[in-house]
This record gives sequence, C-alpha cells and structure tokens, in this order.
Amino acid sequence: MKDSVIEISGVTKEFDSFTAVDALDLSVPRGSVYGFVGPNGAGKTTTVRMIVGHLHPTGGTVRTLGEDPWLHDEPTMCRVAYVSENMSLPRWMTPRKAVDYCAGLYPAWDSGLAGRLLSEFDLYGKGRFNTLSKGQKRAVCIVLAVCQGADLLVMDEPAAGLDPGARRRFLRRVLEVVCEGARTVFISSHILGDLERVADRIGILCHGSLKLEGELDRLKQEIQKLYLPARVEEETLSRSFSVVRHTMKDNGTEAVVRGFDEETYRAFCREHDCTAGARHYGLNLDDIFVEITGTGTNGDGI
Amino acid sequence: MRKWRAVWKIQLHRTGPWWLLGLVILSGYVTFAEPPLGKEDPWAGLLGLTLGVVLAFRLFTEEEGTSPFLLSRPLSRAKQFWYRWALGFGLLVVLLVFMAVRIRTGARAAFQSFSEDAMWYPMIRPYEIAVLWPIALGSLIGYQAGMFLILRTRALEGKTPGRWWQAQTAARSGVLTIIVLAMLISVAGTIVTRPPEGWAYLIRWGVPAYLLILLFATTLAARHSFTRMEVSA
Repeated sequence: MKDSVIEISGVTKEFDSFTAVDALDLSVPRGSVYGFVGPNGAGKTTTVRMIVGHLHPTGGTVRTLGEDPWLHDEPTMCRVAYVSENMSLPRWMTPRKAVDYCAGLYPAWDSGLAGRLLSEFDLYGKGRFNTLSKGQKRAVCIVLAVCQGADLLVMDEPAAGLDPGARRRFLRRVLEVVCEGARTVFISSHILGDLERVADRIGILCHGSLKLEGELDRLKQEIQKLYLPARVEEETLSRSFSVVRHTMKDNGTEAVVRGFDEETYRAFCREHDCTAGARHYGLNLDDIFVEITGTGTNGDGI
Repeated sequence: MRKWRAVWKIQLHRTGPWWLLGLVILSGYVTFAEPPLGKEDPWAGLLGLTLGVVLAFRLFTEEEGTSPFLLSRPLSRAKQFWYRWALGFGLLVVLLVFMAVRIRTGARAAFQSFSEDAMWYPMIRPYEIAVLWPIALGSLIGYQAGMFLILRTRALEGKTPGRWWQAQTAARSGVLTIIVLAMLISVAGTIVTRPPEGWAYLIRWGVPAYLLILLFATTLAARHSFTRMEVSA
C-alpha cells in the first residue's frame, strides 16, 4: 500500500457519557479519493474534526500528513484544506473578498483557478456571504479549499445544497485536483451516487467503528446479492460466505454475502443442486451501504 | 497579506462597531457628566468594565459557523490569540487617549460653559483627567476577566473530566475568583471612599501589583485555553 496521508489508530472520542467514535482504525493512502460514509450519528463529522485537529481524541492517535494535527505548524496547515459541514464565512465577506483574503495566506494559492471557479459557480459579483443561498455558500467554501493548493482536502458533506450541475462541476474539480500530483481527498458524504463516481476507496462507519473498508471496485466484486432456487439455511450459506443478510422464501433463498468469488459460488450451487436458476447480482454503493449498516432494509428489496 | 492584518481585518469588523458605541457613550459621559470629574467615580468604572467585557466577548467568540473557517487558516493558535488580545488592548488604549484628548482640549469645558447650570465653569480643569483612572481600571478588569472566563468556558466545552481534574479546576477557579473579587472590592473601595491613612500605602502599591498579577495570569491562562479549546462544528 502507498504511504498514508491520514493514519488513525485506536481512536475513541467521548462526549459526556456518549461514545461518538469507538476504537477506530483508518488509513488513507496518498493520492486516493476516500469516501467516508455512514448513517446519521455514526461519528463521521467527529472523525473529520479530529483529522483536521479541531477535536482532541479521548484515546488513540491521529496522524495527518504524518503529524499530530494539533501540533501542525503553519506550513503544514497550508497543506490541509478543510470544508466543514456548516462552514460559514464572516457575514460581510463577498466571494471575491474571501478569495482575496485567502490568497494572501497561502503561498501555493492558485489565483487563475480561483477566478475560473468563481465564474464557473456564478459567484462573481455576488454580495455578502449572509445574502448567498445555501448552495452558493457551499460553493464559496469549496472554491477556497480547492484553490489553496493543499496536499490534502478534507471535506464534510461538501456537496450538500449544491444543485446537480454544480455538484457535477465540483466532482470534476475533485478529480482534477487528485490528478495534479499526489493529492489526496477525504470526503464524508451522504450523496453516495457522487462518491461512487469519484472515490477509489470507501469506509463505512457505523456506531463509531468501521464496518467495511477497502477499494470500491473490490468491494463491489466481493459483496453480492444471491438468489438461490432452493431453501438454504443461513448456517449452510455461512460455511462458504460471510452472510450479511439472509431471507428464506417459499421458492428459494435470497441473501447478501461478503467474500464472494465466482468459483466458490459455482461450487456451492453444485453442492446444493441449485445451479439452474441461481443468480448473483453486484450492488451499487447505495445498496452496499444499506445492507452493511442495516438501515432501510425491510426485506422487500426496496 | 501579513498574518496580523488577516486576523485584525476579521476582528475589527466584529469588534469595531461595539468599540465605537463604547467610545460614544464614554465620550458623552466625560463631556456631559456633572462637574467635577475625578478618580472616585463609580459610573466611569462601571462603563469601562462593561466596555471591557463587551470587547472580550466580541474578540474571543466567533460569529456562528465561522470558527472552522477562521481556526483552520494557516495561523497558529498562539498567534491568533496574541493578535486578538493585542487588538483589544490597543482599542482600550486608543479609547483612553481619546478621552484624555477630549478633556484636555476643552471639549468638556466648552460644553459645561454653555450649559445653563454651569456658567461659572468656563475653564479647563486638568485634574479631571483623573476620571481616566476608573475607566482604565474598569475596562482592563472587564477585558481580562471576560477574556479569561470566555476562553476557559470554551476550552471546557464538551469535556468529560475526571474527579481529580474537576477538583483541581475548582480549586484553581476558587483561588482566581477570590483574587479577582478581592481586587474588585479593593479598587471599588479606593474609588468610592478615601482610604484610611494606614491603608493608603498598601493600596497605593497593592492595587498596581494586583493589576499586574491579573494582567499576567489571566493573559497566560486565556492563551492556554485558546490553544487547547476544541472548535465547534
């Protein structure tokens, strides 16, 4: 594996008696687009805030760009760009003033890109920050982060509030940023369709710990939905696969499994005499998320 | 852009209007208050105290949602603290200089001489400049104590401290509160009543010593809290 830009080991974060993040281990390789997903209250935002040094972990260690983010010096801070979930700028700042303000703080600031992005997101000549729409506010924050020339972009729900066109432009920019040198993007989002387009690694967080982590393409191959035209007990199925969900119906068995591979599947079907009519489907990220977290499943496949 | 300018630009937008309001109110007070003004003026002290607290609040809290933006810029927390603190301190000094100029150049005397009730009062009274003493004391105490308490509260937000830590904090807070209260009482006593002869020497040297301790201790403690506080989402 390539060297890690973010390294989290055994991190726990407690708020009063509530444990938001529980012994989390996570590693984000340099040059990757890492999609960080999870149900509401899973601890995503808390994790992101620890990565950028805005929260102290109660236990464990966080290393961002190889150092404790609380101890980042100013040159290292320039290398991390951050867009938080509810980030606001001072209300009097116009998009143009915000760009000028940040341009003076970052040595690697890309003024040409900033000008192009302001035009692209139709932010030129817009008024004070508090008069902008929610989507425009997000766009300003994204422009500031992208133009910073940072090695690591950390974004918490960056595309929430953007219209589909703006989201597409945003995703294109994310890909461009990654293609320029060995930059890394860490995105926490609920818009899984967007993540599926750009992310090469995915981590699914549930109740403060990782339920699933790995390269997206590989995960899509090894998590499959099976339909078997025979009644197969969960215990039987679990001898060959790791069973995520299992439903027996009158005329067959439906299951979602992990650790799928074609050879094992064929051998299993032969062994249980259900080759004819047996099918397996790949899942998209949305379905993988629902199956792994157990949210939204009601057994009818919707 | 120089980093101190980046901090001041944001903070002046947030603090400037309130400082100007304080300037107008205090200017009004030192111009229109009944003569004579002097160092035994509790109202001047109270106005200064209020202004100090307001400045501390405006400088050491952020507009809703702006903390992640401001505190993730490439500026160390320590620098951000010192730049903000220096701005507040500087604004208080400018205010005091403005008051001094206002009194010494005769703006107060001019108004008083045109006032119906005070036709007998046409000349500048240089000793009235002593009213700056309670204003300076009040604003300094308000600013330092306000800053410390705000940042301490922010640093403790969301924390789940153990009992030993809680006991230590309670003890430290208790000692500090006693020092601040004792100082407030001493200062108020100095302003309102003439101290008995036996206490005069103690108060003459004790009050500046108290002030220095307050300035030093609260600034360092506030800086520590600012560098350790977590950033709200």
